[in-house]
Amino acid sequence: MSDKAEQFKLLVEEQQERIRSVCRYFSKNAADQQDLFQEILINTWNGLDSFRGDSKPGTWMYRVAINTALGFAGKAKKRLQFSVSLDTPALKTFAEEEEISLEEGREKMLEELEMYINQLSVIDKILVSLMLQDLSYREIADIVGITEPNVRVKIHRIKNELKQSMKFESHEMSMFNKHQMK
Amino acid sequence: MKTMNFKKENQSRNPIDLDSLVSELKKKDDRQKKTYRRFYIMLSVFVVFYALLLVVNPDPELTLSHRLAGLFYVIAFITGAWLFRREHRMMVSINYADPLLQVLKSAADRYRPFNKRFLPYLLVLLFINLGITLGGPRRYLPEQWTDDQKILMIQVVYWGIMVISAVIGYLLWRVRYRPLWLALNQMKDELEGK
Repeated sequence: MSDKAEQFKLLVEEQQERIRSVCRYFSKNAADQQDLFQEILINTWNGLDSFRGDSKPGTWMYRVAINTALGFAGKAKKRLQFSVSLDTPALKTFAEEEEISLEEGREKMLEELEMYINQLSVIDKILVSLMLQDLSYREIADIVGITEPNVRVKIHRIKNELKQSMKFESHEMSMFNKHQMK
Repeated sequence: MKTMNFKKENQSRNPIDLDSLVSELKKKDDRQKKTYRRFYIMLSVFVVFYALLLVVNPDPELTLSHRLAGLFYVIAFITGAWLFRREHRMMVSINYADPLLQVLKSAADRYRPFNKRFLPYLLVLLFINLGITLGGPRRYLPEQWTDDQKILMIQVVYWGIMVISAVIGYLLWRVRYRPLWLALNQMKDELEGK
């Protein structure tokens, strides 16, 4: 087997699970996830000659995955949908940092979080997907091609937006419940 | 998006058969190389054939203007082939491993309607125009017309067709690619914080 084939197999075997989780973020449908995963593998193969080892293999493959997911969504003429599950890496950390309780009504909170994330712009969704992969700001900056402080500012703004939306929702709900009880 | 025809897994968590995937990818690479090799061989045959028929053909009925017309056609084919090669190279050099912002910038540039990289195509149109003006079509125009009138008529018809084609091309771009181009620019601006 050629060097390229060996390198490809090694890279895919190492990064497979992380890339599959990116696919799961961008589609709820198993068939679409599989199509996206295959498309990522094809683009990984096509771009492998340009891999010089300047960045980590994981970061390099994330770039391929994100760029492919963007093209995949564009060609399918649909918005990038976002799916968050309880086993999403860094979700717990994110929820704790933002004082979002996942213990009480976990499913409901996740559904709300997913709904608000889906209302974000495509770029913000991509940043959230990378953030939920527990990547550092440095790695995210390397993947999207902007500076680290810029990533920090953008993620801070997204977190605030999500937090405000969820606080507003729970406030509205509690007002609604009080009104119902009267 | 069309995916390759290798064995699909039913569940997204199932491991993929990497050996069959690699073999399919290699076949695809080979097919692509063969397709382009065939295209260039066909074009070379065409150029040689046209050059022999219209430029170096010893037939005494072939006037100098016919030979010059043939030469301009051959130059147009060669220039067209060179531009096609450049375009193809640019398309295959799209690297999905580049940072997102860079990919968005180059995609937005590719889908821009009026792009300076299209300027050399004007040369091809000009060479074809010279070929048509010096070549055969003049004999189909009314005999009582002067040479100047014939040339003027050829220019009006030729550039008229080109302008209509350009307008149709622009309208097709508006329907097919403008929404994508706008979305790409919007995402690019958002990432750049504009």
